[in-house]
Amino acid sequence: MSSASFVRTQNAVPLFLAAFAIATTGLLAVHQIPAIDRDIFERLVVAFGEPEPPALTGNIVLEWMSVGGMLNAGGFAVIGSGIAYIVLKLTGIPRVVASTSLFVLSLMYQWLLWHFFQLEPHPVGFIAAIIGGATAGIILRLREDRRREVESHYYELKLKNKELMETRLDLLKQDEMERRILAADLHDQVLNDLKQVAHRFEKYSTEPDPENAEQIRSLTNQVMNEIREVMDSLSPSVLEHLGLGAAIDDCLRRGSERAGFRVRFKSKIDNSDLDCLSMVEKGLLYRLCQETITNTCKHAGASTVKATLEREEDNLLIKIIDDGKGIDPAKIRGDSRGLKYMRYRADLIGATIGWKPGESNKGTTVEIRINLGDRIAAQAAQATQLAVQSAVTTTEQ
Amino acid sequence: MLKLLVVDDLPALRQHIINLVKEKVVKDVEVQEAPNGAEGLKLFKSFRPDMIIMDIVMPEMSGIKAAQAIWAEHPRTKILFWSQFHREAYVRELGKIVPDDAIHGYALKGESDEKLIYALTSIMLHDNPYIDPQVRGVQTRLQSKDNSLSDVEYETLLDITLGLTDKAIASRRHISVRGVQNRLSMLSAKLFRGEDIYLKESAGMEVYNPRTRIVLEGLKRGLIDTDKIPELDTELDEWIADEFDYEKSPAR
Repeated sequence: MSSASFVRTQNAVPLFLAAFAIATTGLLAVHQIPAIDRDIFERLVVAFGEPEPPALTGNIVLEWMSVGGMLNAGGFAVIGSGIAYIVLKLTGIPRVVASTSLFVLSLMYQWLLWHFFQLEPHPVGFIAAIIGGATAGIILRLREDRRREVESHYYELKLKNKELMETRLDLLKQDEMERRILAADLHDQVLNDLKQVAHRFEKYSTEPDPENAEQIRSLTNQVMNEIREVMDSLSPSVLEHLGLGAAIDDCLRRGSERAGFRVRFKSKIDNSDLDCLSMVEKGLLYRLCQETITNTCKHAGASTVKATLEREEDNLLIKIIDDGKGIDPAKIRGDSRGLKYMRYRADLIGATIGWKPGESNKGTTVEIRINLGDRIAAQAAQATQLAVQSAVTTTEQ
Repeated sequence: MLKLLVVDDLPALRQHIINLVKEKVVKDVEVQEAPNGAEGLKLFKSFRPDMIIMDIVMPEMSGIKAAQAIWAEHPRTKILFWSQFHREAYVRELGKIVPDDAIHGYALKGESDEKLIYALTSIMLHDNPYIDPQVRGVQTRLQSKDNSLSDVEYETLLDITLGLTDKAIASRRHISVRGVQNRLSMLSAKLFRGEDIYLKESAGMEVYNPRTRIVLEGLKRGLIDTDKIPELDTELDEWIADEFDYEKSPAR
């Protein structure tokens, strides 16, 4: 509501400006430009000092019915409507109001000119009026466009900002939740087992039999395994040491152990193709795949899950395809929190993630894309810059 | 004298395994140590060891990178990877880079010394690849009356029963081709106790096809459970589909 009234008050001014431009250009054109000052002066004297009676004073309707009057009125009506149309195209003013006001303004002004200065209408006046009106219209249009752009930009930014804040909060919440799970793991498993180890040691100090020692040994091993599991969930060792492909493969195989589906893994890329990705980016890509595979384990009931890594022009494309139940389209559109978080996470590194029904509408295909070309180019540029810098420093030395 | 190079970033662990080798595996051994892959690679070039014990995660250069460089130069070098990582992915990845002629192994830190000694002995003395069964998810052994075969030899017996070539076994079990061949000769040595060699010498020719003969011997001794063969075959199809992206057309 506020924005609509804002538009209207703003446009009262342009309307006047347009009318003023028509009238002024009309006036200037009627007179020969070099003689204008004297002419106007003389006519002002005539008008105010010694008012001459107008040539036709009787019926105003009759006066306007003269040829000049008709031309004047008709011409300005056309111009007025034309400009009104231009103005109308940009603003929210009702068409009738704008055209009528311009029409009335031009008529009034023309009558004043004729009444006080006995100015005859002239075709040049019309042409100049058209030009002036159009110029005014164009200027107005530009101003209006600019204003709208700024306004929409402002709202867009505001909206984005709001979204960003929400996303950040959501991600923070999820991180917090993960931390709690981790703490629970450490507490419930590792700490409890360590307590048992301590307890057995106590027992061992009073009755040192080999069976007790063996139990301590196996408990310690168990604790080591648990710590390894926790560490792996923090930072997957396979990803770090063997690369993204091996890590996704590994994740898939572990999923298959849990959910019993068959796995196919195919990487059509070299590990070196991924050198342009930072460890953080690889980590996030891995998490996306991991979450996808976890979802597949939980919900899909698939019998085969395939994962492929390939180049698609400048992009790295990771596909995870299952032949399970398929995914509810409403969830893809944004009803699912989990998928929304995954989108956010992909967004953080400029990657995209999409879900669609698999071949012949069976199962789900998840596609994750990230641009490698730009990253490679950026790194090459950086390398050149470094080379130039070092060359410069060596020459300086 | 056997030359051994130990590459690990923890001095205590290096000392532990060196002591173990000297006490339990080979007394007469010349040892050098390196704290990371890069140093290890440098030492390898001057020292030329017969055998390397290699940690996987080390500063500067990982054990995998160092092994790749060493194998590129000298593909017959024996390497036992000694790592804390249980994931099969490591063994699979190493299986991809091991040259046909190398013997390698994968042992876990934190396992018992006996296991480590077994791994060291089998690689250093018997040229037999060793991969910790915990990592590899070893084939569950069928009930058999004969305990003379080790788990890996038994696994190799099943693989040749299924008709796999040396190369295919190597790739399926993540070891080198030479490793497979050594396992096969261990297998026939255990099953025939040298009789096949006597026969070959006195006949002056190869009388039996050794692979088929091994399978026959396995059947005779009840090592191969024929009821389980369809199951093993399905598993093999699974591996083929996974490895070569080849789906068998469905049976008509």
